[in-house]
Amino acid sequence: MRPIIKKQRIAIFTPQGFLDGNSASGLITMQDMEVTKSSKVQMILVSLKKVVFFNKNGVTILLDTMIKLQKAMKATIGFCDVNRKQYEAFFSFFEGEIPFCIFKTLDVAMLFAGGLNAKEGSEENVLVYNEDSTQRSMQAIEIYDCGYNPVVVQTREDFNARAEEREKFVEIVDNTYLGFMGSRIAAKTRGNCVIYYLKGFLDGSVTEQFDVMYHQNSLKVGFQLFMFDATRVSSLNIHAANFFSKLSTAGAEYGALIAIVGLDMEKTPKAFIEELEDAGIMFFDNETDFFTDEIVQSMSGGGSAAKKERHKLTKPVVARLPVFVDAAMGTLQMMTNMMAVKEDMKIQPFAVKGKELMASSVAFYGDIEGMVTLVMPKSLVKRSCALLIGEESEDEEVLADALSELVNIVAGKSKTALQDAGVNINITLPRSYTSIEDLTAVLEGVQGVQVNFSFDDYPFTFYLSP
Amino acid sequence: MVTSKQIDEYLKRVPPLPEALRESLSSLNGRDLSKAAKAASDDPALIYYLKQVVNSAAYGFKQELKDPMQIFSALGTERAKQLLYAYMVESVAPQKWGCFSLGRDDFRNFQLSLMKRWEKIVKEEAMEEKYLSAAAVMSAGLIVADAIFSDHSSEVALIRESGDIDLGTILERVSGFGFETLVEKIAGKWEIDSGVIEVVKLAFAKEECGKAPSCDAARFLHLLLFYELSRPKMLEAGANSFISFNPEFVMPVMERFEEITEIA
Repeated sequence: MRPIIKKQRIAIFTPQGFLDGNSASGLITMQDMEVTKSSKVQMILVSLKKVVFFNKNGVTILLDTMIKLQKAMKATIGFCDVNRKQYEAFFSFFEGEIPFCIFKTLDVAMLFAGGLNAKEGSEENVLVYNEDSTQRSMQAIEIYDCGYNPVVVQTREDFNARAEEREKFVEIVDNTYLGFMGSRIAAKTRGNCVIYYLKGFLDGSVTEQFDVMYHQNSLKVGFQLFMFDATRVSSLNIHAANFFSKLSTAGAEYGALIAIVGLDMEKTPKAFIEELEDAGIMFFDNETDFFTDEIVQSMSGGGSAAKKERHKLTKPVVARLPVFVDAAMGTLQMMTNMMAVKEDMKIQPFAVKGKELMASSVAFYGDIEGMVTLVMPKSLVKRSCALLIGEESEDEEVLADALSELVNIVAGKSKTALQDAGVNINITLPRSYTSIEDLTAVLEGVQGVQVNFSFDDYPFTFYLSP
Repeated sequence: MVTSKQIDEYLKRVPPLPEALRESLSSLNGRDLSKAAKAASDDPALIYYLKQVVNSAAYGFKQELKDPMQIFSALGTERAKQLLYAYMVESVAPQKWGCFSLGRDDFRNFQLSLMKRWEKIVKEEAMEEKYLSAAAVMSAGLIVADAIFSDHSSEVALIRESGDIDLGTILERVSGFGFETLVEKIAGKWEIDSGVIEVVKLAFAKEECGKAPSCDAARFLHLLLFYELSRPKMLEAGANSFISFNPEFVMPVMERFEEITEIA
């Protein structure tokens, strides 16, 4: 069974029916393991949402495979979408410490994987309850490390009372157990900024804990602001300083700004600070200072420096334009059962008009490099994503996620078609825009190929940029 | 991706019951095993199929059954009917599966295992014997799914990479049809008992079900289907995501199912 990759952070297997000693052996095949490894995710989970029967034998066999993946990928492994009965069953199967994680839902798992996007202005409180006090503390620490504020309650009664005020919490965590957790540095996005959460003493191991691919993908899809929250960092050594210095230099190509926030300057050698400042890294006392800084604010819409330094659209990329266009048209036609009509195609700066437009971009790299952006009105997003989400939704976050999946499908189709032609590419995590102004800022000064279509009466723009 | 026109064309291509089979079934409805065996003898492919199946380990008859009359007598009316429908289902199976990674033997093994366990459930639960044919008809769902999506397997794979969506849900979202409707139409074309068709339709677990005997039969069949779709071969073939499993639907019979199949 192939895993579904969620936000490039979690690979999830969703078996239906029975998970016993017989069936467990067929759930994750060697091929599935290779697909999972290539996804470079930080969590590998099996959802029990549609499992009606499972036993110790089945879980043990499955764990053998999952532990192999854990070792190869340094990932967190476990189960999600677990009801109370299933949660308790795990504890009856395994005496003592359980060597994997159990998450009540996929959303809770995503929270620990740092994949829940923070909403600006939200309190970001997470309600936490577990019968075991050690687990409560562990979960609170992990949640804090992921940039949220854990609200820990001590009793089931308190938990039930607080849980009634659902709107006060971005997530509610119970029936959750943290076994062995991967040690990657947590990351989340807020608006146009990627925030990483550091802790403890930073040494050379930071290079192993940092998800370089996630960072590079963020750069490729136009993120330019990167904040390292160092409020819980005791100090750093020369290896860590070198790492940040190199990261900043590498990001300069994209016009990225790296800032370290909350670092204890008293405990940090002055020479390191100077070296980091020379590499273009900015320091701030706290998050508010960072987000209100003039330079940061000028870049929060995407900035313009990066575009001047970006590569130009090359001939090999333009030569493959029909592949991307066909994939986009084919996907939209498949999703909507509507026919696409091409209106015009030009090399030009990005320029779209219309009301309630939404967009999503995905970058690709390898034999050729570039970025594909799809822009369409919200009404077309609703229609084209109905196949994925099953119903018409007005929720912008749901639509933005569905649009990202749509762009993922387009990129996946393009990748396969290019592979057949001997061109190998990798694709990044998609980035969605609910505001066209943000996208315009990211693409400012860029010359790309813009293809305008109409699907019945809906306008649709495809933009291929360097 | 899949249009209602394509679905109509597929349904038109499903053959009606061959004359020998129709006559044999008609005789079985009249409880005349001898006449049913005689009618079936006119179809050598059917007799070859029956010999292979009844002499397989799944049926476990002590002596080899060679003669049509022997076979029909050993099976009895309702089990013979079940196998005639299973033969019809297998006859529309693709030579080469496009959507699921299955071979002809894999499908037959799945179908036989489904039918044998279903027999046990029908017996243990003292259900109406005519429901025996329901498992054979249910297995047709996989064939329909493969036929509908075989030309779109790469698109389906891409959609499924994005989310946990079963084939039944994809079909409904793109065409408005559910597999249960298509199987119902095929079963109607094969003149299958309306009570059996009702159980099969309900066993897709798409609608609420009360306490009628057909509902309990449907719950058992839905659960049994996923028991079989959870076998390693079916998981590897991608058949586990054929339709959506509904755990709530089967809860009323779960305990009893565990007892009958002795899986606990």
